[in-house]
Amino acid sequence: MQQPWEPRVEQSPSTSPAIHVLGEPAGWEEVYREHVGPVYRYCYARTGNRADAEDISEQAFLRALPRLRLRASAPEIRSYLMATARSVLAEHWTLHYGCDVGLLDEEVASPEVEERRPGEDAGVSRAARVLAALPEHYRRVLELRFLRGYSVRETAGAMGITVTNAKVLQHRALRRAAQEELP
Amino acid sequence: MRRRRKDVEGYVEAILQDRRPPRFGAEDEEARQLLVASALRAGRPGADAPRPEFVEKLQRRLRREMDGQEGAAAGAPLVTRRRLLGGAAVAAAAAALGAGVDRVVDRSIEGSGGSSTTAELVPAAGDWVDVAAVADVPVGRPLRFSAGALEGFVVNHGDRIAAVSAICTHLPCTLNLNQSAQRLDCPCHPAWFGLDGKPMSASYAPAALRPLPALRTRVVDGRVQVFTA
Repeated sequence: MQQPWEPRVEQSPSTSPAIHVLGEPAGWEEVYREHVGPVYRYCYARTGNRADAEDISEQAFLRALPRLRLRASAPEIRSYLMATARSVLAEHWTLHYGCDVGLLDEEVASPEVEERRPGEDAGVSRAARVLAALPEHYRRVLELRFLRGYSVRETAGAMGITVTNAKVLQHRALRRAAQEELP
Repeated sequence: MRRRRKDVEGYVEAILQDRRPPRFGAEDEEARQLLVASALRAGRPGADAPRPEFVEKLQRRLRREMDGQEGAAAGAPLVTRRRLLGGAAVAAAAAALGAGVDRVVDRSIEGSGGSSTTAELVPAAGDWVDVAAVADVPVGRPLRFSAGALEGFVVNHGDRIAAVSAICTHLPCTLNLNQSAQRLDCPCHPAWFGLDGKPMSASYAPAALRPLPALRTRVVDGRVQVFTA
């Protein structure tokens, strides 16, 4: 397959020993391109927003890539990158929300995400699983808000309840979902 | 309890609008709710796909970290710390440039020699940072440099040396040197700039595309230095 990046050109041969750290100059870029999507999705599913997911993915790659043995197998590389992302995520949650790292470790280590194959939409399937475990009105309010992007007011309208009740319902539904998903 | 509920709601509202959520001290139960909310947010089809701009930008950042070289596709030599640390024939470099540059330096050129001054290149706030040997920047060959947070091009205009930011003023993509056209091209959008930083794009009204910020530049001992604020 044609690579979207052109091969690097060495501009100053006198500096080549320092610049070409590895014998395969493009190796890490291939690793990056193969894994950036899964690492990002992994981070996104644990932050829920682009800005944090981008920051954490970036930190994970900056931390992991220089230490990576590029000749390791793809699963080993994936596992190392995910473990690094997990540790950056744990730091994020501890720093910004004062969370117990143990809780996070348990959460981010959930195996179904790490074993996901390319093309599989684990984000969607996990959300579906969370919703499926809930009573109908809880499922419905979370579906409208999170999967369909309805505002509280639109959700209230769709469910035939008041805005206040929609807020309360969302709160209870989320609490219940947390109990089911992260006991 | 009510405050905590508000905090969780604030988090949920932020992520539903794809904003960075507010930070607050959360108990375990709330933390679980935040995590489940995040997982649900990722369930909206396509929501958790990385932006192509982000993927490209991070790759460039990693390239700098991994081998100190960026913009190779554009043919722009990138000054790296390693390269600068290698030492240079400073006096020769100063001679090669000629007297023209001397008139525009901020500080008078000190005595020849003293190449050891290139050892400290990590930019601190409000400091001059050594980015290149003058000899490495002939007229018509702008030089891409990266010094800590500072990304730029050093340009020899013949009668003076100047530097401009290498970050597009539209979207913050790193510009590539287009050697043949003698301009700086944005890889993300049809935007390009002259070597003096002025926008040249046909697709954007000049008012919409701001010029590239000029970086304060001086020459000391045949070395180009850029000021980081």
